[in-house]
Amino acid sequence: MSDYVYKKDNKLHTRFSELLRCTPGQIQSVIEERIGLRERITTDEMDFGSERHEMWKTESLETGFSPKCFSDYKLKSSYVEKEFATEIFPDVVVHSRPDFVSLPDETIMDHKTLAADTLLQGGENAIKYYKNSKQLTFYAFQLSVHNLRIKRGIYSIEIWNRSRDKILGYSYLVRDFSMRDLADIVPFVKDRVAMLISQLKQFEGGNNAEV
Amino acid sequence: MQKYEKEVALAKQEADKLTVALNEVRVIKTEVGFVQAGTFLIAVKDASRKIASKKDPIIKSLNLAIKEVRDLFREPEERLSNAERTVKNSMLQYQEKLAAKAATASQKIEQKVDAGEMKLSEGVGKLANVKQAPTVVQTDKGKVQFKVIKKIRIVNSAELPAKYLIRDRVLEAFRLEVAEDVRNGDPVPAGAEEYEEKVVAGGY
Repeated sequence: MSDYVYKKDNKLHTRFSELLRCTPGQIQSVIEERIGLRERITTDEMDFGSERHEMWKTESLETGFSPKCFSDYKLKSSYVEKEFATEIFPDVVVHSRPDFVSLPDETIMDHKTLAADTLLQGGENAIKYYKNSKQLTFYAFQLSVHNLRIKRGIYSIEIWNRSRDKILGYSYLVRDFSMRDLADIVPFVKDRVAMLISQLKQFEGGNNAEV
Repeated sequence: MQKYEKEVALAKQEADKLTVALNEVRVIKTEVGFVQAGTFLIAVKDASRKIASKKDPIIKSLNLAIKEVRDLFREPEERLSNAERTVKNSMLQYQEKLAAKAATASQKIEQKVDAGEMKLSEGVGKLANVKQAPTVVQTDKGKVQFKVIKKIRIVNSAELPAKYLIRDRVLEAFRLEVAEDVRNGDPVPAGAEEYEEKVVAGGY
């Protein structure tokens, strides 16, 4: 996945993964990354995940459907890793690239890879990692700003063995989104944006720097 | 607990004496030994009774003291407990009233979006601005939180997966219920059996 390209428009551009890290414990590293003092950490696991995402993207663009391996769902694609840039608050633009959006099915998918000793353990870990995840709720909210209604989010998880040479199986976490669910994420995003802005002001002496 | 030193010392003495004597009857090889073991068992029971006769009055007086202290504080504690229950109910009722108001406002917005009278983006934005019922009351002495606790109740035991029926705690609960009914004259039900276990009862 290529990096996000930000326009020089005096607006704060961010992405959801960055906002997730706008916490007292992690904001310092976020700011340092933004002003170029630190590079984002990448791991072999992340590279592995990126490669799989490229394969799923290619497949969905070719077939027009969600990746075949996630066989519990066959959804018609509307957007595959399309970047959405959304001015969710005045002068605050959030960029994100949902893995797979199906407007006919009003569903958004986020593909994940994880490694485990057994399929059962992988399934349990998937629940642990993603049951409280706000990622798809945020994407659904973001798409609602574009008047695209998403009523269901699916974390589609591919579980590999530890040495990552064998797929153990697949797991899914499905979440329904009411309009209220989408609205309820706004205070969370507002808090994170406020922290990002205040820290950027502190480090850069203003919020109109090129970020 | 120093004041009970004498009683405790006597109890230990009794136990020490019989613990040493246990070595003489631990292995039974003859009928004489069998009778000696019976005599020993009765001596153990006797010693236990002596210890209990020292211990029980102490426990009884302590229990009585605990009861008296509890009784002393009961009335004001109950009043406070009632006050807490009353104010919690009032707060919950008020919070539910606010929640219902917010739900009605939200429902109207959602209906407009669903009917195509309002854009989704506008609807979600308006929903985000609907004032929600507070979940925290902050005061200068601390905060009061409204929490939603998830609980489980069984609505149809026949539909429960079988795995729950074979768990130790569940089986023990079944066993206790069946044993009580059988003691009261019911036949042993299917799925349970009556069996005999030999015990040594030291009666005298």
